[in-house]
Amino acid sequence: MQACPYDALYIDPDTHTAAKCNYCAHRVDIGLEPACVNVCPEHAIISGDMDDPNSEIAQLLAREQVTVRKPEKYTGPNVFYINGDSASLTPSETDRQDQYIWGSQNKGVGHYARFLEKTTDRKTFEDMVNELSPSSREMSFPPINPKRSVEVLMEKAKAKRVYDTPDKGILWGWEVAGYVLTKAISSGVILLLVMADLLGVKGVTQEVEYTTVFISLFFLLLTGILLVKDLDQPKRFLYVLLRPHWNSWLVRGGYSITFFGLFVSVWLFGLYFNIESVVLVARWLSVLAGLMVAVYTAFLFAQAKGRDFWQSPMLVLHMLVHSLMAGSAFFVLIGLVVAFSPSMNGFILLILKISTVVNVILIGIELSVPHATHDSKSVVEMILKGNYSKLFWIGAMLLGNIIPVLILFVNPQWAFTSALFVLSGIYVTEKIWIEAPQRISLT
Amino acid sequence: MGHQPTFIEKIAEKVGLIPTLRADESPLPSLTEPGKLQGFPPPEKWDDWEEYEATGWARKEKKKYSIVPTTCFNCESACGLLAYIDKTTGAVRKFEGNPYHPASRGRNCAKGPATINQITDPERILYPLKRTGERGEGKWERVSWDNVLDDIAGKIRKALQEKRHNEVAYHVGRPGHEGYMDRVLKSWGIDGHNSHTNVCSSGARFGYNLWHGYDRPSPDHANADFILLISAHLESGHYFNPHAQRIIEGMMAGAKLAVMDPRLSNTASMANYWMPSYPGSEAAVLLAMAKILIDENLYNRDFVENWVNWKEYLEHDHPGTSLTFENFITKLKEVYTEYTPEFAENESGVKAEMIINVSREIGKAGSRFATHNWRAAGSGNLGGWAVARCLHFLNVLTGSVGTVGGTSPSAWNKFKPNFFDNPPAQKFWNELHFPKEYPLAFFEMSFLLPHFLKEGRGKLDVYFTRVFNPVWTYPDGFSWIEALTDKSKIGMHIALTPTWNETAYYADYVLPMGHASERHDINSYETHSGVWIAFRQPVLREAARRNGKPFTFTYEVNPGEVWEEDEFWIELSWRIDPDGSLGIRDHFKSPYRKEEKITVDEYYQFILNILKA
Repeated sequence: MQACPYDALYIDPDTHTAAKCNYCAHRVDIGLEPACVNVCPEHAIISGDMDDPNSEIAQLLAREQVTVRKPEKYTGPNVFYINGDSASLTPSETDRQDQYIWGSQNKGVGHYARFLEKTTDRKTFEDMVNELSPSSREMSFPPINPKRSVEVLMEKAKAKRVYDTPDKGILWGWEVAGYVLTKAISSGVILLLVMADLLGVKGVTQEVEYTTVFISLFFLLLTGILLVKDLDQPKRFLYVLLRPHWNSWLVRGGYSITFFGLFVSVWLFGLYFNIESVVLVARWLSVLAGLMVAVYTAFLFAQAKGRDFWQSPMLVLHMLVHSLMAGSAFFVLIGLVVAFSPSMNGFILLILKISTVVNVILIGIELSVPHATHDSKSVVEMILKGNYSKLFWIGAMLLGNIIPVLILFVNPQWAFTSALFVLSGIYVTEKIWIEAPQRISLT
Repeated sequence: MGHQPTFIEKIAEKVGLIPTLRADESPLPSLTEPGKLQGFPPPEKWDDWEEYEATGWARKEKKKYSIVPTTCFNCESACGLLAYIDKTTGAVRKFEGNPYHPASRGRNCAKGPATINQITDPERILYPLKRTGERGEGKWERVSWDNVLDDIAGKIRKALQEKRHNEVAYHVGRPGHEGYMDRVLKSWGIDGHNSHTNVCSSGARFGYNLWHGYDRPSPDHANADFILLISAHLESGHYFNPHAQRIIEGMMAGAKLAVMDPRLSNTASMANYWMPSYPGSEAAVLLAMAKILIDENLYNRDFVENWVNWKEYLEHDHPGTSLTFENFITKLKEVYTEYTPEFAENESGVKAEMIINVSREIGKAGSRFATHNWRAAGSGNLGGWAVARCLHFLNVLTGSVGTVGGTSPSAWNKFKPNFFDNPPAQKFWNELHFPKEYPLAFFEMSFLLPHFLKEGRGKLDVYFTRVFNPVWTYPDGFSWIEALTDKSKIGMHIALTPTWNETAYYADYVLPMGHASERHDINSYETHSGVWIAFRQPVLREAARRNGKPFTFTYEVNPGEVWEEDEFWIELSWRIDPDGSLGIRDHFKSPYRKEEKITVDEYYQFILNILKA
């Protein structure tokens, strides 16, 4: 649903699965026109074979000036508008209103489908009437000035939105932000452990290895639960793996997670039965899969063509750094239970410091480089000055990055508070990065 | 082509982890060659039609239908519908347009297919109900149709025998048929018809009637060069679906559109000229347009000279003036001196410049000038009738009356059926409907009915309401509640309705009548340049006939015991006059079977047979 730049997909309220127009395949298959073409009184919708020069649509396309929506998304759109008015095709050209005279339903699709039934089910008839009555919605209208009304209507040149599709709301919510954090921990601890071992840091004992592997598997399990929970049809998770479309990063990510889990489990198996060769091979395979788990989300987001802000190439680094931050922060917390060697301790704090500082720089670059499209500029605006500014400046930047780094420099004894702040900072940052772009209307 | 499953998918399907998606083994044949599509199943396949389910397409689920044509009843237009009757369940599953309907041509607004929601409405009334508590108390019991018909017939019979003819009345909102009820009421010998027209279209009707004795306009939008509308036609005005089709057709062929409406309606948003006049000022703008047409010699001299009674006008208003057309024009210019575009701008807020531009476009269009007003400014304003009257004056000046692309009187594009029997006119005058102090009333003074009853001008012993809900739709619903709850004013109130409404709540009998697909009617409306008729029919009755299932009345095939009015009135009339002494039965005897009661099939057979001849 996030992939469509036209917001054409929705969750079917009956089947709870994603749905979209399929050009009335059930009709076209037997030689009937799509229903919308058939029913339109004004014959405003014309469909047909564009390759047949004698078809009505081919002739119209040859004769008329036509536009398509968002050609820059390379979706190869085949819906053409004759005299397409940009104010009615580009959402950013008009302001979204809270209420519309003829369409005051503002929540009604996607996760909000059957919103009204759900809320009114629990209530009495009177409650429902009150909820629906205009006065309870705090509607406000400008004072009516009859002498001026006609002039205002006639002369105001700016287009005004008078009808809208209901807002789908935030489709990717806390589960997605949460899963980015859990998978960052799961992959991060593995990456960190192997790095420490490679760099010859003393104290990578078998006890530490066991702990790391267990923690990684635990958070990978959490990741899986969150991912499945986020689906409206949890069983459809099987489709991702078992009806794979290999071009999709959802599938690639799903397999990365699966193989990562498999390799780490083999590693555990090798440790338990003390088979060194198995441990060695499993460890390296785990690192490769772990890297994929850490960064694949960046590619997944990039495939969501509807969200301009997610098209940033910085996202890969952003995800990798978050993984190292999460891994090192979690090691600090393990340190409260398991006694690390001083050099291991030092290594963990060093990685935490470096990755957090790099993170601040990355976020700085991500938000300050010029953004090409209106939509991503709006998101940056939202983060820096708009709805998300408090959460960003206080939650993500100050508490999530700056204070923890300061603590680490001033008093490493308090490193565990620093770690807690960093982990929550990652969650808050991801929440903003995932939510804010979804506030942009695409249609 | 098609889905190529991967190895993983094949294994998973085999193990049963995910459902198997197989290719359709016996695909349905396509009606057309690849790349070519058509709108509807061909009529020769209507009796036995098979198609894929919309939501089950991926699984190639199929469904068999019997398709039966009928017409919509959710506004007056009576657009064509095709009912898709599921061959397995025998119930109507959906409605689509009927491509052979001359006005709607297969295209419908949302209200047409939505008929399915009405017939499957879980709240609809399926059986006759009789009040058990007080009126308006909401207590009901199911009764048999036999008892209902006998009870009402007995009461009417008594009223007719006692010469209380004016105490029987039938009050209807949307008739939906051609002359059926007028015939029934005449056969009872009563002046019993009341309508809702006086709170709806009578203003515009009066304006048109003053011009040519026909109370509706029939614009030929499709062939017009200029279209002027005073209402929101596209998707919301009168006959909006058939009209919208032709307005766009005309515009695609180069016509320009002007809309006078204070609202930025869908129509106004498509217009070349939007004139958002202050409500009630439309006539001023139209008079200014007339002035420009006269002053700038943009009128059609031939037409005005031949068809306007200008000689009588000169004789009466300007005695002594010699009767020449030039003198008439001179006088007309004098009369219109004050209606300048600036005057109109001051009245209406519409810029004088726009009024001038539109007038010149109208002059240029000449006989290809289509106009329409129905409700909008014509209703709800004191003097609203002047809007239609002034508007049609522009047609008269341009000679665009009865022309291609012009505006015709309604009856030119409307079919009137011939009945098997025509009872004589009634010999009573019901002053509850047309009181003598309103001699110019155009249609019944229906909104005064409860007040007349309260004043004691009369009473109603048997009062039918149908497609009529004054408690909700009239300006003073509470006056209606007062009248409807007073048994001394209204002896028996029978609500004929498919669903509950606020007026039915105050009835003694609530009798369920069929929706669009559950009743017979003949329809014909002046939706465009051309005369057409359409046949509304109970689709399950037709399906039963096709299947050879026996039935006598429509209610036997309709849901529950939902009757159709045609049969109800035949049956009721028959029972009012059990021995034939009132002479009513004579008007309900079959033209084909001697002395026997007519059936609804025979009623329409007669009309349609004459038509064939």
